[in-house]
Amino acid sequence: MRRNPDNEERRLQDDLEAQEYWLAADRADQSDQADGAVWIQVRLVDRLFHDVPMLEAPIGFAERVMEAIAAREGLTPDRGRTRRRFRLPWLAVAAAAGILLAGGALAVGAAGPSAAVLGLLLQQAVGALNILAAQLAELFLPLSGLSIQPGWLMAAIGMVILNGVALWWLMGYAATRREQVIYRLPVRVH
Amino acid sequence: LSVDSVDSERAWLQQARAGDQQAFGDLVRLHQHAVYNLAYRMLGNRVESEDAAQETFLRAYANLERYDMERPFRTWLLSITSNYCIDRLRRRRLMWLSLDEPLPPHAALHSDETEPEDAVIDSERNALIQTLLAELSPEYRAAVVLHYWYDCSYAEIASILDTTESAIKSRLFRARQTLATRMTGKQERSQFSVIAEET
Repeated sequence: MRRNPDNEERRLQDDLEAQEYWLAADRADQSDQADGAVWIQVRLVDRLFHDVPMLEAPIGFAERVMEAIAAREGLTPDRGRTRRRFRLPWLAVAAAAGILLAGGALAVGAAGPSAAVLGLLLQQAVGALNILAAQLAELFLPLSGLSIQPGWLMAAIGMVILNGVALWWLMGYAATRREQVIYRLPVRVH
Repeated sequence: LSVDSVDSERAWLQQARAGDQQAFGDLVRLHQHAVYNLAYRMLGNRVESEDAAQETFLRAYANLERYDMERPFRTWLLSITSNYCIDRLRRRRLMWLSLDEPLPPHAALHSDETEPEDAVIDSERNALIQTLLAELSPEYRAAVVLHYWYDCSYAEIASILDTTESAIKSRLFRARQTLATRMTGKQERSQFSVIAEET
């Protein structure tokens, strides 16, 4: 095994844990000869894999890699371009929000706000929300006349839960398939 | 890596980030064997391994700016390699190629160079190892290769394979058990064939 001195302390800890693992496994399997034979084989596997040399890359491999890099157009570690692409929209949104806020503050200041004006504005906002809620309630009005059986209700709840689970799974799947930022780069098999 | 190599590696990384292809070439030369070995142990085929190793370096170069300089470069490269190989093996299975795929070729037959007799034993050992590795799932195979060949701690393997330390412990434990069972089976079969030949 090729040991890295910087890693030695951590490796020792790992080895101790592994040793405990094996001892526990041995104790558990002492009564069973067939399993005991497997443990002996496990140690043989360790010995087999131990000190197997690392294969060397074929001669001229590095040169071929560099030729491939040179051959692929636009393959450059371009830091500025990547960062600008992600930063610009945020900068634009932040600037727009700042302008709106400043404009709103100036308008309110110019109008000379009084308690009555602010109260009126609040009243109108609450009124708008009420209208919106009433329109939403109207959508469910046809259902009010139906007598929903418990079975249907359970099925509906089940469907909602299933949809939720499916959505959650889809989001998880999408998260794993998205282009990984650092360690998991998109795969293209030729 | 020695202290000098680490310093050189850092300097090359900075130069490569600035667009210096020659510096990246030095990084390729420094890590080519580690990347190639991992690809070969995962895929069990020299042509595919070279392709995978090359793809690893291409991706590393294209995404060099995303690399965190605080972490070892080799770990990053191995991570790209293992993920690429795992995906490639999965796709291979999806395409049902695995059903018709022959066992990894015998190293002694596959080598281009003539080897002395002593090396034949190593070649046979290598071939047995590749046959055993081929029976593990891609995730287990990656953990085993990183454990035996790269002196990686559980934490490092977990970081490379983007999982938890306990998952790695469990994978290694089960992988060793599987390898042991398979090895027992192979020994029994070879003993049976010897007896059959004698009779």
